[in-house]
Amino acid sequence: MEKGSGTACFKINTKMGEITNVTEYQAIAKQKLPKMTYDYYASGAEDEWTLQENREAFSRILFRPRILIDVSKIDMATTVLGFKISMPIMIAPSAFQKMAHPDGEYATARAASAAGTIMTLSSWATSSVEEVASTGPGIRFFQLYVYKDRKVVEQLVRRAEKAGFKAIALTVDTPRLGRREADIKNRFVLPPYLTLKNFEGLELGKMDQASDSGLASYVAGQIDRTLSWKDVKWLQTITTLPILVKGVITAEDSRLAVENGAAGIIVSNHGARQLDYVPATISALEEVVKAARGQLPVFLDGGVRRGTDVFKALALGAAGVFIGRPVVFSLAAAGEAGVRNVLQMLRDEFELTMALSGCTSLADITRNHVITEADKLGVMPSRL
Amino acid sequence: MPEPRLLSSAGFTNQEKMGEITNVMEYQAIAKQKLPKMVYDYYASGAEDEWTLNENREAFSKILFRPRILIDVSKIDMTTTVLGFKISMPIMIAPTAMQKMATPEGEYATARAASAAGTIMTLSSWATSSVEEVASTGPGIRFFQLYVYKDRNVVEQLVRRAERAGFKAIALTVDTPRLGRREADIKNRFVLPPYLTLKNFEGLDLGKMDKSNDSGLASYVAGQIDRTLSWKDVKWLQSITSMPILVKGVITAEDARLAVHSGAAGIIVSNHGARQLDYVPATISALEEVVTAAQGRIPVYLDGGVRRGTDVFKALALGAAGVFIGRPVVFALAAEGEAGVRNVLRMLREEFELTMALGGCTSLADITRSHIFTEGDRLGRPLPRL
Repeated sequence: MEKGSGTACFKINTKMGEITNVTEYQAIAKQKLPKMTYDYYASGAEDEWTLQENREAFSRILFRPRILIDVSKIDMATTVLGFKISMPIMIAPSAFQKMAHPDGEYATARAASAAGTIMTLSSWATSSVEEVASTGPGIRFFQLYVYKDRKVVEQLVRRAEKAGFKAIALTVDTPRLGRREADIKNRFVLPPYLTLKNFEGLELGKMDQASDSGLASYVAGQIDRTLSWKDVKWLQTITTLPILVKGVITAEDSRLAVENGAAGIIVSNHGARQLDYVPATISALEEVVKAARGQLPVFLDGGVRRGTDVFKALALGAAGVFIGRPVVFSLAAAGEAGVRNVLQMLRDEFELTMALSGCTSLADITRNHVITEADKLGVMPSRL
Repeated sequence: MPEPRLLSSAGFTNQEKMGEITNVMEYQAIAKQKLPKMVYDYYASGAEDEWTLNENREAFSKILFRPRILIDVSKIDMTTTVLGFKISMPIMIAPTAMQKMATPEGEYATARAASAAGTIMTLSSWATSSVEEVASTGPGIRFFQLYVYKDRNVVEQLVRRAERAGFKAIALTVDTPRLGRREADIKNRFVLPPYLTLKNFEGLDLGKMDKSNDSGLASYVAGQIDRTLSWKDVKWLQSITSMPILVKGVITAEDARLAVHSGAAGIIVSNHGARQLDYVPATISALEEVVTAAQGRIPVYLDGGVRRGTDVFKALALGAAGVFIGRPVVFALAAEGEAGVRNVLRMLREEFELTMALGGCTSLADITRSHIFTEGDRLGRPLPRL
């Protein structure tokens, strides 16, 4: 938990009106959700070092605000893969949202559209691409795991296209599932009344429909460990949807993503749920951005809880950020209204951060507006 | 004979008399006990995660001394001159709003304590006593802290009143185009208690600012801060007053240079008591960059987290011409009114004098960069020694 009275204090009967920051939803979710469900969402892998670090690393990046600049008009609109959105804060894919709240992905979709931003739907959603599309207009991306059965993958991609989804976020950090020890101890299974809706109606071939929780674990076991760059090429042959490579954290893989025609990169460590002891995404970001040399946009997820976090990511070169856990925690706490509130709070905080830093548009946010630890150690970019 | 007790800065008892307070920080816990939660939280809070609030203190503890020994320190002179005004020590009072919330006498008590200590008091624009009332306490060197409002007529009237009341300089707050997010105040739904008012706005031709109730006025006034404020407004201010203008809230080299170019009389390195943008550096961490960029052309002061004489010394060693103290004043007011503020100024004076003596410095000019070392120094950036 972070230092400071604001984020650590809450009361059991806190009403939404009294919630003053995104992190407060986590404690409410913990109270409301069954342990197995909360632990599934909250956990990281093994020692959870990276889980903590994803937050801590932001607190080591400081600001260099510029004063006496007219900040009466702040414009935080931006364009992602050609799609105009109201702010560079988007929704990351997180699985099984109906475990958090009966409205699940419907609520998230509505909140994202109301906020004028992008929602990424998880392959392991408890609502299908069609159901999410049925909530009304909105820009949506589809997160994809590549399964051993490529026909299943092809069907998923077709359905996403037909449902009007605009891009694929290909998860590349999960050839095998990371060791989330709480899930192991809890023997996590998807509650029996829920199902992975994107697999309903598919010709599953070898994936036979056992029980729902059985399907979930079967699906997890079907992730293709052979996944490699040639599969990115294959994916490009079966769809014209732009492909974001989600889970790149090195300069080498950043170059390969560019060379392989990816439409973008999401610097991600899968919410610290895969390989423990990877750097925080905010720490890895600059290396990936530099290696991409401006040839594709680089986004970030992992640990974004404050408007100040969003600003820091943009200052270090991210074109936008995605938020994961705050969505499921606010769903659990307050359904669609909770997710709307999270997006509103991040928008308001980010806008204020821009104003207090002297930035009136995203283009005004530069590397000189932040100081990293590397800067302090004397590798100083020129300031004047 | 009472048993000796270990007194930490956190320890205090309900029966603590002024004689038993041994450092400035002890007033905070007393104030917390005495004040209603909403009032204490208003004074004590920082923005959002309060990282900078904590850091403003922590950063001082990472700066260490290189004391020189076997120097005659029998006579210590800590007097100095600020904007041409002689004061007894380089420790001044920062503007803090609404001091009558802390104690009935409010700004009167602070003014008297400052004058008695021979130092400068800065009056907040959002004071619960007017410039005239503060001036009426008797002679003293006073600065006026200014927010620039959308209605420039209001600003002009405020400046005129401050001039007529004998105030000597303007401290222009530049880090607040919008109010920072102090989450305690949001949760508490902070309002100015109804029996108090922002006295500098009484009697003004407020135009669009109408006088609803007092707490309404306070929130209205906060909403009237002009977000368009920029360097050209410094020029405008210079055209309506000949009082020197200190730019309060500069923390970068670039803005230090702009301050010099704009004709500002000085800079106060400040992060508004960590109440504006969270995750800015501690002011003591930002100080050296600003001092270096100012190139000695204008004085650079500091506020934020000063609680010890050792803190004052460190700021001067890093190039500050003086420091301002904020929260210690309101906490001391809450604890003991004027006597508390007098005590805070006395304790800081005595600690600073002792620090000078133990550091081998007999005047402020003796305090040099070589008397301290920072983390930057330890990481191998060479420090001139001889």
